This record gives sequence, C-alpha cells and structure tokens, in this order.
Amino acid sequence: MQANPQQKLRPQNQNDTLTLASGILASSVIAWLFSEKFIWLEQALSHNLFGQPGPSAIAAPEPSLGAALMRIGIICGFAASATVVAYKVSQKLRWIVFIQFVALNMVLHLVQKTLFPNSTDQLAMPLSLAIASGVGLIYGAFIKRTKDIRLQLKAKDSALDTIRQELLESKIQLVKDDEIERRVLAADLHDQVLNDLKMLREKASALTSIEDDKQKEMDELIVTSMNQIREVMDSLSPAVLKHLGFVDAIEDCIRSGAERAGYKVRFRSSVDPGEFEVFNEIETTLLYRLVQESVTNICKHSQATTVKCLVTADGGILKISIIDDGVGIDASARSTQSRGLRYMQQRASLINAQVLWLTGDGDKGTRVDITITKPK
Amino acid sequence: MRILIVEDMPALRAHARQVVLKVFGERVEIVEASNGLEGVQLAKSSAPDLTIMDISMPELNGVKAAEEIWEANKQARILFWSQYHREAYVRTLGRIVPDEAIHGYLLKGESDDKLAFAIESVLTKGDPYIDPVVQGVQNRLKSKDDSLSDTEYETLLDVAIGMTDRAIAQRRHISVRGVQNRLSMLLGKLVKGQDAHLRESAGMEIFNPRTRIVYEGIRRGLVDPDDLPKLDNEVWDWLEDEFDYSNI
Repeated sequence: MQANPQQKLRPQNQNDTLTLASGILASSVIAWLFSEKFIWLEQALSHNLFGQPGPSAIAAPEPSLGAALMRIGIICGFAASATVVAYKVSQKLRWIVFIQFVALNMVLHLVQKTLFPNSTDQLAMPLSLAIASGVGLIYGAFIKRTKDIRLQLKAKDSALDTIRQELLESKIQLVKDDEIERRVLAADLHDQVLNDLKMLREKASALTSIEDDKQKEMDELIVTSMNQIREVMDSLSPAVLKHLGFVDAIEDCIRSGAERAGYKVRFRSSVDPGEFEVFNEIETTLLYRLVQESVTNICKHSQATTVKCLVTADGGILKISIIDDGVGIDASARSTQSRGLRYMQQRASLINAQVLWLTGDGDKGTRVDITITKPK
Repeated sequence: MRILIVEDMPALRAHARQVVLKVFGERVEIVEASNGLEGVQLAKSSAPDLTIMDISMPELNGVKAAEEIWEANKQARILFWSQYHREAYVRTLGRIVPDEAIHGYLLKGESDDKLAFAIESVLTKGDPYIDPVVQGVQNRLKSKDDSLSDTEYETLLDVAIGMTDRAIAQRRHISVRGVQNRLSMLLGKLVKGQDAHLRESAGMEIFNPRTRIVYEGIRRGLVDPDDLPKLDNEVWDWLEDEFDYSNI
C-alpha cells in the first residue's frame, strides 16, 4: 500500500510524535468499533455495487479471530497513513487524498472479488475503511493546525521577549547617561563656580577699606555659598558612595537630610558592608538614589522629628527600611508626591528591587521598605 | 625620618612636599606615589613614619589604600588630606583606624600653616588632628586659653565627664592610642611632673592622673563646672544615637 509512515514523517519534537500516535490509535479504534455495526451496510453496498449476495441472503458468518485481526490491522493501517498524510500535506491536497483513499478501497474490494470470488469474508470493507481514512485525515489536519498555532505563538513570544529586553536595556542606558550628566554637572560646578567663589573670597579678604565686622560678614556669606554649592555637587554625584561604600553612603545621606530638616537620626545596620559589593555600579547608584529620594520626601513633606534607618539581611534579600515619625503619606498628599514616588518605582524596577510604602511605627508617619535580592 | 606623599595631582603633590620640607628641613626623606596602589606598595616597602594620603585617586582610593596599609602595619600614622568635608569620611576612617595607629583628617583648602600643624600633630605628638570644619552639626568648643590645643581641650572635657579612653575614641572618631597620647600631653601640661617626686617621698601614688587633670582643669578655669551638665546631656544624646541606649 503505502510506504512505512514512520519513514515519511519526522515529527519536530516528542509532543508531535505522541499526538500522532494517539491520533492513529484513536481513529483505528473508532473505525474498528463501528466496522462491526456496518457489516450489514457493507453487505448491502457490496450487493448493490458488486453483486454479492444481499444482506439477508446469507447469515453473516462469525468472523474468525485471524480475520478480525487482519481487519483491525488494515483499518489501523489506513487510519495511520491517512493521519500522517494529512499532517504532511496542505489543505487542498487533503481532499484529493481522501478521494484517493476511497478509490483505493474500491480497488481492493474488486481485487478481492476477482481473486476470491467465493469468499464471504469481508476483508476489504469499503465503508469502514473510508471512515477510517476520513477520520485519520481530519485528525492529521487538526494536529497539524495546532502545531502551526503553537509555533506561531512561540515565535511571537520570543519576539516579545526580545523587545522587552531591548526596552529594559535602553531604560538602563538612559539612567546611566543621566548619572554621567550629573557627574559632569558636579565637575563643572567644582571647576567653575566653586573656583570663582574661592577667588572672590580671597579678594574680599584682601580689601582694606571695609570695616572688620563687615568683612567678616562677607566672608561668612561666601563660605555659606561655597558650602551650599558643595551640597548640590554632592547630591549630584555622591563621592561618599564611591569612596566609603554603600552602607556608609546611605548613612551619610540620611544624616545630611538631618542637617537640613533638623530631625534626629537612628542608623542601624546589621549587615556587613561587603554584602553590597555583589551589586554593580549602576545598581548601587540607583539604590542610593532610592534612599536619597526618600530622604528628600521626608525633608519636604514629613516634618519628622526622628528618622530611623535599618539595614537588614534575610537570606538572600537585603532590606533598607526608612521610618519617620512625621505626618505620613495620605491620599491628598499623594498627588504632590506622586512624581517622586513614581520615580522611585521606575528606578526600582530597573534593578529588580521593590519599594513598599507602609505606615510607620505606632501607626504614625511613614515607613519605606526597599528590598533587593542578591544575584546568585 | 621618612614621609610618604600619596596624591594623584602633581601640583598638589609638589605643594605637600614643599610644606613638609619647610617643617622638617633637610632631615626628612620624601617618597612620592601618584595613586593608591603605588601608595600601598611604597608604604609596605619603605615603612614611612608618616603617610600623607589623598582620598580621591584612580586605581585605589585613599580609604581603601589606608585599610590595606593598616592591615600590614597596625601602628602606621596616616594624615588624610582631602577635599571632602562630609563627616561621613571622618566617621568611616574613625571606624577603620586600628587602636594603635594615629591618623588625622585635614581639608585641602586649609592654609599651609594648618597643614604643617596637622603634620606635626600626627607625626611628632601622636595627637590625631581632625579638621574642625568636618564636624557636622556639632560645634567644636574652642580652648579658653592658648595653653591647650583644641584637640587636647576636647579630650579634657570628655575626661571631666568621666568617659573611658575607648568611649572617647569612638565618640571623636579617633584611635585609642590617640586618646592616650592626648591624655599624656594633658598630664604633661597640667600636672607639671610632680608625680615622680611625690611617689618617692610618699612611697605610693597619691594622685590618679586622670582625675588630677580634671582638678587642674577646673582650678585653672579651663573647665567650668556649670558647663558640665550640658556636656553630660550631650554624652547621653550620643549614646542614644550610637547605641540605641535610652536613659529613661
């Protein structure tokens, strides 16, 4: 009949093989179950087409085991090849194949009649074979289609993944560029503005025509300006982060907020500073920015009297909690602070950190929890 | 006498060299390094009496370089010469300085006289000199007369409150040896060498040096007893901040 189906088809993966096998088995079983029922129909068909004795004329002989097995075998074979061919072949061709199968059935029947004119055994059963082939074809077409859909989805998924990856990379690049900008700005402030102020200070102190106390006043003003410029420079490009490590840097950040806003600082770290060295420069910088933004919020909105900062480690998760006893974030304040909060969420998502805003200790104030998982 | 200057900017390196020569004249041998790595190598190989260390340098910054030097030599004396005025630097360095070492921290904008003073303080007197500008919110009390330096005066007040050497070291971000050196100097200045004579005559120690310098401080009007409660409060504030200790 046909070449061994296993040679013709090489399914792409295990899934397909299993599906095919189960399809073949299913259609064969269905066909065989129904073949018994159709014997009467077969006989009628045979009688009309080929002049065999009619259905009532001869009592249907009990088919021997051998014949039954052969019947099953043939039906299975037809169903199998039908499934395989439908899988391999495209839509329009399937119809042609179906017609070919039916024709093949007829031919087989004719052959049998010619070779064994007296045999009453229905070995070639046109109807059941036709049904087997039909079911096989439909099933083959069905699994081909699901496979195609699956491949399409996979392709779309991987395209989506690539786009997501690219988006993440470009966000990180923007942040990196932003940090470089800040560094450049800080350097400019240092080289130009700060230098000019230094010279101004020298010139002012050299003036002889001004009373001593006025001169002292001027000098103090200039020194204040210089310190303010230094503060701006520092917040743009925190040297502490580079030189003293992450934990000392965030302590410094919180304490510098205390200088501006007048709150008391309680800084506790139970984590070895080396734990933060597993993160790369951009991760440490962004974590620092998260803390910096929290401190800015506290200074601007909270009117806190005490700010606690706890740095803890729990397994592979590092947590920085900033707790203030101020007015807290309520719904109305959210709108004015939301830009800062959104900024924090954005930055956190880039480095796989989470930021949670909760109520502070004793239901008062705010608690900001920044957590990040250590890379494996 | 050997002094190592670790500084990446050649102009500043030359400046420091100049000041060192002015202080010590020809008696001093000066070694120079232009970055932290070189500095550590030279410190280990040439064992200088004092290292003048910049903070911001390529390859290895001054803080990490100091850590390595102190790991190899727990008594090394390092004067940090820095452009960074944030107290965080003094705090971190105070934590990493070994007990036996002496260090100092001076800002780069200060005058040559200040630099010379700081060098002498750290190297010759073994008195840690921390630039008063880098004090955060705290205001340094100035000595009421010129007999004591600001650093000695600060330690005198801490002792008057009753703090131990180690507590003073932690509070002022200096090493224990630094505190002890200051106490020696206070002793020398205030308790004018009476003790040896007395010990001979009496056959025993009469005065506890620590307590005696407080007495001398009060007697000479350097320490005002009315100031002591305020100073005491400051200590409790510091204890709460540093150790979460509540005195309620």
